[in-house]
Amino acid sequence: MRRSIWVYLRRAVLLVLLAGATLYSLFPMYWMVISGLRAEHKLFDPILTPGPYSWQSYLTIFSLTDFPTYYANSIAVAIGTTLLTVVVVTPMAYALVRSRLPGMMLMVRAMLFAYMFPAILLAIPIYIFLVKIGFDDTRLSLILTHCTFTMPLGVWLMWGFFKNFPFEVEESAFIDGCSRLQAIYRVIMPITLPGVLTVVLFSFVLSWSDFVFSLILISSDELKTLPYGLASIDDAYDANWGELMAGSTMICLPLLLLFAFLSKYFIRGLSMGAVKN
Amino acid sequence: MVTLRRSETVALPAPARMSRVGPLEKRERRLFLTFLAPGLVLAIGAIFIPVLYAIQLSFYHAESFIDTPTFVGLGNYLRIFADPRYWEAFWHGILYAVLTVSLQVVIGIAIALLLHQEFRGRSWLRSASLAPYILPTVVVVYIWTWLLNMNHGLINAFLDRLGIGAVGWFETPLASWFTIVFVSVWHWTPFVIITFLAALQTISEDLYDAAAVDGTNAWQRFVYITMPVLKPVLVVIIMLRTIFMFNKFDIVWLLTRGGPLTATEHLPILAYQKTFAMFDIGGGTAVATSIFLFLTLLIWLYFRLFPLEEN
Amino acid sequence: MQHTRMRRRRFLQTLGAAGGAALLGSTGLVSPARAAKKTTIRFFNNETDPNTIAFLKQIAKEYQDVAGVHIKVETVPVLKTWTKVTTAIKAGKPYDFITFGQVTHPLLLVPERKIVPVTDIVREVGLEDFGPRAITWYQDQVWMYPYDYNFNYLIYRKDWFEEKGLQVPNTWDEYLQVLAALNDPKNKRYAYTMPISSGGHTNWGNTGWLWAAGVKIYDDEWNVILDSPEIKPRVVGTLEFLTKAAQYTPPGLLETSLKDMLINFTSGLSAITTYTGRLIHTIEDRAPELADKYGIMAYPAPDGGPRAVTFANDGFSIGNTRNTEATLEFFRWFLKNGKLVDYQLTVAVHYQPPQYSTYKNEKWRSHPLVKKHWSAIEVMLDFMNTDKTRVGSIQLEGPGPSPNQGRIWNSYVIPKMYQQVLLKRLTPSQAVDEAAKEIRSFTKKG
Repeated sequence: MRRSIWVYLRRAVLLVLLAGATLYSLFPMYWMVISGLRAEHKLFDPILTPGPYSWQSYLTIFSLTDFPTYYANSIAVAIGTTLLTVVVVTPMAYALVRSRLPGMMLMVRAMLFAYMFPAILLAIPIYIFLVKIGFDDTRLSLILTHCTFTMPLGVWLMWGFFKNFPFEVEESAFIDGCSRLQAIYRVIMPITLPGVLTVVLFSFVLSWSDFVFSLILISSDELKTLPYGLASIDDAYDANWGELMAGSTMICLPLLLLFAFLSKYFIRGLSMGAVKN
Repeated sequence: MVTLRRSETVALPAPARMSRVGPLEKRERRLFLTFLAPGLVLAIGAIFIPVLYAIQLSFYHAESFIDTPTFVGLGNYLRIFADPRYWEAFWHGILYAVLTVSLQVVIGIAIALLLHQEFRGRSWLRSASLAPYILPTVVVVYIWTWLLNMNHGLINAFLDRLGIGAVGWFETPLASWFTIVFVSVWHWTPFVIITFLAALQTISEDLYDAAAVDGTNAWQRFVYITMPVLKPVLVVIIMLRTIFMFNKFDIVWLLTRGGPLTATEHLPILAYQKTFAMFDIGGGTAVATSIFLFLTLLIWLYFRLFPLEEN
Repeated sequence: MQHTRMRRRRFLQTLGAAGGAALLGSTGLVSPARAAKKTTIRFFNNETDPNTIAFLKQIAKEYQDVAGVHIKVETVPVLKTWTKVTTAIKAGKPYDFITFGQVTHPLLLVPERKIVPVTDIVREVGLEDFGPRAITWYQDQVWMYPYDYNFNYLIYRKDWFEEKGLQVPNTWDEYLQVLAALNDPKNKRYAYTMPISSGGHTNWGNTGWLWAAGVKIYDDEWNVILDSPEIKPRVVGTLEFLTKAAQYTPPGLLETSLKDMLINFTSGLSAITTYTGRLIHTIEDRAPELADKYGIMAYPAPDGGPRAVTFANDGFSIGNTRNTEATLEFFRWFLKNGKLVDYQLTVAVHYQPPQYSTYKNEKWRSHPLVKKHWSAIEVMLDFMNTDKTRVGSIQLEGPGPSPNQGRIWNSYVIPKMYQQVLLKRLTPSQAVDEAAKEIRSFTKKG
């Protein structure tokens, strides 16, 4: 009898704590979504489940600002960055693990070093350099500079991935008479897919979320990506909170969708970074 | 030709491939170099050259991008190091890193332990607790400035109703510090949660069961079983996070612009201000380079403590 | 006359070229883009209002049809103007036509000859048409054609003034009495919203009191006189006045942003706020019920006398590029065809025209918003009367344009001086000394 009370109590405490943790994590997002949907004159009422609802904030942000352009830019830049990262990083990480060339560990370390570098420190010199060669304020320059953080992370993740990858699989391919390139193509690529997916996910999210490089590199309205675009809508139009929250929700939507379906790969990527090392 | 290569591959036993000579080795080496080349080009073009260029600029005086730079030697460095504002910003960076990292670790461990319990919907809750991490920083800042807004924010309305009264979350240096630390911790704690959860999963349940049979209490099990597993992860995380947080620019910039006064100004903000607002490109790049050197030192230390080859 | 003929000829030429190109293009001989060897004017625009942007795009289309010249409008927020314009020059892609949010920036480009004077164009329009301070001479030339005074002033709730039987105050003491009478925190109604935090919004939106008190930062040789025996008492007086006024502000004084200034006024939280015509526009959009319940006034001086407004002239400049001639031609076309008035009417009461003729222009006067808010516009005209109003600004300090003014602006030294006092870190006297010290540390003479 006493034991079962103890079990119930323990369960209740656990429940309360879990509810608290969930509220802590999710409530701000709930408030973001709700604020974007509330009618403007009700926006300042501090009620938790507020109505009436209205699409007005969404209509305003879509019709009166360059938000659709920013959206298109973000999609282009994030996809460009992701593709470039995967194409560059996968063979590089493979070579870093498998080749016996000198200086491989040094390169891995250099990559990690580059990854630890804060965006703002890289952004200022990169910007000054791009200005010097006349290449600032372009989408391509943004893609290339986003690679300065997606690439080191990608190499790091794929390096860890290939390192734990049993050599025997490749060997059996060699024995079947494949060249290394064929072995890579036929055997390694398919098994590498989960690792690549993790890199894809991280590259996309990091590029999509970037504010600093966009702030420093991009000036023209027609080239801005979403996070900086939203900040400049705020500056230029004195946007209302409803519009800002509608814009924020729209920015988060693809990320939350990706996350909902692929959270496994996120978690894998995150825990790989620290635990393995 | 093709057949020959194949037979060669088959003929070579695994240990022989490690030897340094042979036509195959050469061909493979070429293949590997091709694999490495794009990444190296990108790294050199997008990271190394610009950084070197910035270091070069830190020895020059230039008021704008169209100005012709004049060489001033170490002048910019002497000037920034003599400025008390630089050192104030330096210590702000340290304080910010220490506060945010320690809170992230404490809250992160607590939530990780909670989510490690067995209950229905666990994986769903794990995903939910991760969500703040994937939001873009700009969005995080907007959500919280809206929630914390002085006159119209939900949190102040709630405090008001409780009879505590509205709080000016950006009014005083202390309140601003609380705000930047709190919002940063909210945003980045999930990283710690996930890492610790992964570490916790490596502990076998049998250990706990055996310990429970021995009549230990929960606290003892935490100290003697859980902590030893978490400790190495903890050290790595503290190290990594400190390096990250010391230089977080966007969240502080967007929340306070370094204010009120210069109460929350740290070195990245100072570098940005000098370069883009104070017509002082040499000074800005000198501040950036000084952070670069400090960070290099930290990262070198990190590699000394945790050599990569160990695992 | 000659102008129209030329335009027609050019128009026909363009048509011919386009037809020819289409023909060649269809036969696959020459790509259309290469056949029409066209000039492209790069138009740097920092007015981000959607109406203005839409209008500029329409103008570009119209001019393409008229002159066959392509105009590429690139919109950049005003805060990034300087960085973007200079980096574009550095990168070898200079802008041909530029809107500037302050006159210092174009003048800083003069020594390197990166822009060309618009003196002739201003003379063609007539110098006497421009209001006080609208035209800035530098090296005997005019380098920016102004289109908006962008004055900062005080906007107040007329109905609440009437309710309490209050008059528009003429001295600082009267102003404080008005604030005391209006303030009603119990009913969530506060007297006055002003910005204090570090940022352009305070440099522009809360320096009017300093100019009203006759504060000067520099003498004519770039010596800092903010803490001189003559000026310092005025600054101290202003700081003491702001401390008193701060009792009547809504909570959150240190986080007040431009957004708060708009929201506080339109939501009825605040009876007076500092702003410009943009607020009148926001009232139309978001709180139309206030459209006949507000009034505007300049900042009163401490003991009566001429009032003050803060000035932040916006204008057009023309880059020294290979398209300079084409751009000058475009700008003349723009002015002669009344496009400037159309441009100013895109956000009607927000832009305050610096030319007297605009106020007499039928099209401008008959715009519904101008008509509706005519009483406010009459007060705006007073701002252009040097007997009644003093015009001040950080940009106007010192003997001429210099990065020094930009440094005062961007270092937020004035907002910080306010914060030192309002956070009770320093006494007003100490705060002035510290601000003067900081200004000295970054001021470069000559």
